[in-house]
Amino acid sequence: MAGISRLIQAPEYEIKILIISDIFQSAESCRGRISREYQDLSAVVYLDKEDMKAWSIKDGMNVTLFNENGKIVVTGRSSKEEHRGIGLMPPSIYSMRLASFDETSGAIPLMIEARIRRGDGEVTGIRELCKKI
Amino acid sequence: MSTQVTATCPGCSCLCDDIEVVIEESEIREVGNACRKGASLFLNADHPAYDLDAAIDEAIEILKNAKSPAIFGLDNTTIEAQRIAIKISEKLGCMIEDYSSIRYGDLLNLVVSSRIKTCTLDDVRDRADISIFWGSDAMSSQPRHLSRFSYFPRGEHKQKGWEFDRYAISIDIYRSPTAKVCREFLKVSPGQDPALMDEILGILSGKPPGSKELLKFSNEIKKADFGVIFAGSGLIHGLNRDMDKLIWFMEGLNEYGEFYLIPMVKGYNMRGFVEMMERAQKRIEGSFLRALLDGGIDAALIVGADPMSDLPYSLSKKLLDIQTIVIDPRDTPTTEIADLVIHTGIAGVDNGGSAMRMDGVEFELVPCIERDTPSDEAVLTRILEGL
Repeated sequence: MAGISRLIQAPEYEIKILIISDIFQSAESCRGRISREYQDLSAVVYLDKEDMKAWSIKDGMNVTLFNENGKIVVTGRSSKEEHRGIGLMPPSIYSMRLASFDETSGAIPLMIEARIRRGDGEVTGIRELCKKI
Repeated sequence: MSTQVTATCPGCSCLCDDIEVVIEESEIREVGNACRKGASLFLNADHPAYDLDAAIDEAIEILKNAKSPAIFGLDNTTIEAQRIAIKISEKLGCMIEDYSSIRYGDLLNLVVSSRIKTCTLDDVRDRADISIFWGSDAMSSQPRHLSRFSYFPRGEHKQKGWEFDRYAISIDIYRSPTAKVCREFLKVSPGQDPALMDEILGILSGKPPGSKELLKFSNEIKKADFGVIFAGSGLIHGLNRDMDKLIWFMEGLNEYGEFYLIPMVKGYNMRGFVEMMERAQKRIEGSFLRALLDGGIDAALIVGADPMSDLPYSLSKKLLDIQTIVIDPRDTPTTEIADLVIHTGIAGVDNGGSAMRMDGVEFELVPCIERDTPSDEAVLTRILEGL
């Protein structure tokens, strides 16, 4: 059954997620980090236009990002810049769901390797991400 | 009737001290001179009412009963609160850590101990010929940095400003908002920062350049009497935390002119915490993240930080297994999972105190409205007394 559902899912692609600061999200965080407005500015990945075309992702479409650390559904947005194969995400509980901890250096990565596919339901809620899996 | 006061903004590590705040009936109505984040901070300072005495008693109880507590955060609180937190850590004999070494490796310690030459932002405004934003995006994280200090202003010896007197370059792995504003952008592949440093010093010593952009940049370095690297976490990652390489590069640049480095820290008072630890002759022992991962902590006092949003899930989920006390003005994913939340005021808005700008210059944060919301310092003092 799992094999069949995998076959009918949208195709997956490799993507690198770069965590970048966003002044709009940062300004919204002054009102707290639980609100719908903060969620809208955090649960987002900015994608290269050519990548979007190649992956059949339209601006504003929900996308699933996942790797061995976790899975999130966020909104895919068209980036004004060219960065093939790289998605830009603001720092938040969303990007941190995919990040891994480098135990040797003690660092938190700015670049995360993940996979992306179209759709997969509603954007993951912040409170949902606060729960333990 | 409205009054206008000039305030200092704790929105980022620039600590802009020219914010004009219009107050009417004890509420902030207008904010002038602030960036988008600063304005949002002043206009959204609002806190729910709760039983403070009961919350403090509960915090004391949690900490007293803990076998291995830890204190974490502290980059977004005042120097006064940081000092009390250090005293609590001494009283409890527990670990205390902020984000400085997690995000910037040993960079801040090297700057504070003068192993890397640094200067003030006022020096930058008055004298800098060249501003190098390396792995840092000031336009997104410290939005008024370029307009107040590093690119656009007319300084004492830089009267012609950015048009003729100043050169700014962004070195990053993508074209950030800062890169769009700077005169030049140099794209570096992830992890190739050490190779770029080798190439720059090579060109300066006469080797042939690999590109026109690098030649131009190297010529600007040669022309400069006074240059500054504004180092962000992107540079630290790019160097794979190899601080010896950075020290070597800074020494190499200083053979051609005066070159300094200022860490572009994110918390408004991260520099203050590092300086306070240095003054208290206290070194960070162990690692909060490592202890969290290994189950070595059974209670955490988190001040002005949101580790649920800042740490990978493999670490932050461990907070759900331990007792957590969060002292913060706002609701965050960390307050959401905390056993106890103590909402405090915002320094410079509701409460007073002091903080250190990214360059180590200390500023007073004077409250601009009267509210009975407690400060971090007041809450931590009561916890210390109770312990």
